[in-house]
Amino acid sequence: MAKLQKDSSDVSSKPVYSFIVSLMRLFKSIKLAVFLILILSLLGFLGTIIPQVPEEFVTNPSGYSWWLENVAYYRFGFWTLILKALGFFNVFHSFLFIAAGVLLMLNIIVCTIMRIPKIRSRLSVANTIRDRSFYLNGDYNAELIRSSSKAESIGPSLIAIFKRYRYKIKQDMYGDLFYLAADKNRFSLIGTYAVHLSLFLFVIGFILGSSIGFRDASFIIAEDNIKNIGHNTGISLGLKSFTDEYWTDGTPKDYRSEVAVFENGKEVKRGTIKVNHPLIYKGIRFHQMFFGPAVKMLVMDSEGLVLFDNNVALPSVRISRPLQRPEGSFKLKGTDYSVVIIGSAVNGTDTLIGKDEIGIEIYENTDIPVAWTTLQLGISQKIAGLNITFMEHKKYSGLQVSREPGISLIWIASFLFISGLCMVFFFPRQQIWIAVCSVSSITTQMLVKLNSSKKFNAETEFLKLIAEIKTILGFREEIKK
Amino acid sequence: MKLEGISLNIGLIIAIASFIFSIGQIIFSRLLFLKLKKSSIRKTLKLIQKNTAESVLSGITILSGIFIIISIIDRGIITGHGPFSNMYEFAVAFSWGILVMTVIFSFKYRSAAINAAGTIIASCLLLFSKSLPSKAAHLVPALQQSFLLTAHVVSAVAAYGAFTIGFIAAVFYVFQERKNLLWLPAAESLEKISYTTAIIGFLSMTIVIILGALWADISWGRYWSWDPKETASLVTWLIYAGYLHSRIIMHWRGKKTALFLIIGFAAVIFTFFGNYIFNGLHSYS
Repeated sequence: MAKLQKDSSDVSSKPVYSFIVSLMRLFKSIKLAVFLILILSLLGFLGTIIPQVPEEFVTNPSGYSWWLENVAYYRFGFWTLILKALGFFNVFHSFLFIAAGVLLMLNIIVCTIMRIPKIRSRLSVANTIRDRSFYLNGDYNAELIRSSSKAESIGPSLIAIFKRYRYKIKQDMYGDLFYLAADKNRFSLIGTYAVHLSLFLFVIGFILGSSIGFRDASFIIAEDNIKNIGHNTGISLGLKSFTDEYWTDGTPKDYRSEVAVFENGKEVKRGTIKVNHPLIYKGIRFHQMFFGPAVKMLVMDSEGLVLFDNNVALPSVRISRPLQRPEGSFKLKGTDYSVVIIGSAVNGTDTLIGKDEIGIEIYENTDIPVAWTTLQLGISQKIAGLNITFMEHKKYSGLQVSREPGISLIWIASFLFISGLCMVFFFPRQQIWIAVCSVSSITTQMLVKLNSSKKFNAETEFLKLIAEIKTILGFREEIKK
Repeated sequence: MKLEGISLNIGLIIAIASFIFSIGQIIFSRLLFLKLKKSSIRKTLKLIQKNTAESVLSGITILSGIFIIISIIDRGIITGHGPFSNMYEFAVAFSWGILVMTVIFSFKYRSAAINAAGTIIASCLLLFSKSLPSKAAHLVPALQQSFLLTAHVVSAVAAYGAFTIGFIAAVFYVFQERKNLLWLPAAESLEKISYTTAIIGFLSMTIVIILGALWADISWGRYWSWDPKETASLVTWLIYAGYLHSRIIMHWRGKKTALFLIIGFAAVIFTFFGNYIFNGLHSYS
């Protein structure tokens, strides 16, 4: 009796199986890849025209809320909530962007796996002997003829021509038929793999950097200070001196920090950090980012005991519209006092604090200063039971301290990508098959066929080869497609 | 700065002249085609006229390019660095890139129309550059990396120049596919030009982005910061990656791929003018 029902043990009937098959078909699709690429482009475009939340507010909820209310809402009004929900204020970390990226990576993986058999067969050396229809089909072929001798005497001259064009040759005889298969750039087929593999390496490198690396873009250190860089590295950086140079028109020419690196208290390296010349120690990179004013302060108590003798950076800004004054602070050890220092305005004439003056505010665990005054350079003052002197103008250096564990992967990926692209476009695989036979005692026929991966001008070399065969071997064209 | 300025102005005038002569040649060859009745004489005369005219037009465009490059080199000698450090310098370099690509493709395909389109875009860019502050400033420390500055920006010039010609070919293709106008290259040739320039541009753009990342890593300690200019160039790169996939693997032809190239060029323009919209790390001018 014929079976009318599908055998329930037949795997292909299971819905899970057909779902997987559909999924594979979807992820094999280049249309999906192009679609995802365009989605990523669109999101990228949005990320350039919609102001993105500053990095320092991303992990700071109150900062983010402040930014949304004061910056985003001001520009977008009621659209702010919609844009926030879609993740457009942090596009490159949004669900849509990451999802599109992940799907594209999956797409590439599936595509790559599905193409392996095809590539493997194309990588294998071509069959030399083919039937007549093979030579007559395809995009590029030629039929040549000459009145002369036997087929096999053509062999050496033909091979010599192909060798000049850097082809690898295989030849064969079958009766009085001579066959040749020429192959060039066989391994350029892996170019496309190199390109796509490098995309993965870029992503892995990027993720490595964001997850196990660190970056402190505002490592501020005043001259003659040593500061721990943190992140459980055991490494500290000491700034010996900072120099800034200017062109005659006032624009910055160069700024550099003379530094020493300490590991577990011991000096391990010395060097100069300049813009475009970072200092690197055990994978930790120190980049020169910015700089600013610092002041050397001396604080003594009423008995003359030195409570503080060091340089203090003024990295913050105190705004008293329209003036912007640099600001910094330090604590007095063994007391409840902290001292806030305000420098002379950087953007205009400051009638309150002159160029060789600083303002100081003394706090004693309070929000409001218990005392304040203006100090002149070099002149000490008694205030709140302390003897404070503004000793000298100094500088602070603003560095970026970072560890980028994925960086080698990034450069390897870059090299792979460029090499892969060059392989695909400049060293395309070319295969030529030739069959030569004597059609009569005085006539020899040659069939030539080209298979090229060349993306453009595939026929140029082919035509050159045909021309040489005609000239050197005395053939002429019979019929050309 | 005198030679630099004079040379630029002469280059601009010659580029505009090349454009005008190209339009003239198009009109003239159309009239020639209409007036001559006898088909064999018409064909031969047309061919001779086309070849001669195209050589002359390319020669004029080359001349314009020579004056522009003299201006660029002179500025480079005076400032002591590759003249690519602000919008003025890059606009001039970009227009030179367009002129070079225009000569290559208009001569190869004997097309006065491509010459006209290329020279007018280059001229507009040069006119735009003349409106920009051109005073040579000293390089701020971050830009003092002569090799990377030159290599990064030269690649961008090559990429943008190629993409511009690809855009011109795509626009012409849209007309040519339907109307088959005689004064435009054949649709098939335009397709080929689009494809070739997209490949050159994509390769160059990849180098731009990689060199940019390398330089950012050395200078700012961060190879990628989603800075608007970086991202805009990546968006441009992605669009051309999409084009290449659709063309090579999906074998798309025609209007669909032309649309890709037009959108891609819009991305190029957006990236180029982006400095005025964004306020990121690239605002050196």
